[in-house]
Amino acid sequence: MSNRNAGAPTDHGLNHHDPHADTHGRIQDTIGRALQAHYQALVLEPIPDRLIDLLAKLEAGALSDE
Amino acid sequence: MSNPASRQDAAAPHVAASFKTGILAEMPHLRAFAASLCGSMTLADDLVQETLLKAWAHAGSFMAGTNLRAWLFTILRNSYYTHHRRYGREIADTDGLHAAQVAVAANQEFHMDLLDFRQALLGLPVEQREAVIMVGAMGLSHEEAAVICDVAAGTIKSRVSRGRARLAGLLGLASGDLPDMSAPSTPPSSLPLVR
Repeated sequence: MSNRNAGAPTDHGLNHHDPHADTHGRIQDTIGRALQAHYQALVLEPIPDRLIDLLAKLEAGALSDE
Repeated sequence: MSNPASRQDAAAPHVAASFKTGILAEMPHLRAFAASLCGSMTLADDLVQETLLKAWAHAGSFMAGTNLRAWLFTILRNSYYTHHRRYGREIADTDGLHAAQVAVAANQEFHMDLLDFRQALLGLPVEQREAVIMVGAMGLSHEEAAVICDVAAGTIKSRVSRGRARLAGLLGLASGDLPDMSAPSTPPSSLPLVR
């Protein structure tokens, strides 16, 4: 989701630009990249054995509900 | 259309294999979301463990063919709000997610490292944090996030917007005022993330 160009549509030229809007867009792009880097690093963390073991036990019916 | 047979399978002692496969596939996302909420991988794994137990106990209420991710995330989120919220806040500073000095922004103007970013993320109110993660990091739609959080899509939209603005503030990024974010804050660690 981009917050750039939040105002009225602009022309395609590079001559006309609002430095504040540009800066806001770049800040939000930076935050977007940081969010994805944060999340991806966590997703790639190896899953600990205790969770894999738990799933195996649940599947085997070795644990009752709760 | 729901299939009565699949419901029966799920309620039986031997849960359908596809249910287990689906949970296994979601596990990395459950952990990443939980760690984003509570700021600790150890606590995140406790939350995921609780989520697995509850999911299995209530497998009969999951309708095959519906959104397993949303169903699991709802369980995890409810567990967090029930048991872990206060605890998570208390330990966030000491047992947090430690990151090496990894630059996360491919942008020379706004350099920042992952550790700084994670500290800022934990500074958000949790309602904003979860909305920002689900929409901005996981790529869920406002509608999907709204189902998980049991609020209107417009509420999610507003939380994302306020959360992102607040993140910019916490990181010292503000339009028209560009601070030097390039100063290294911590020595590099050998591990990108430790428990």
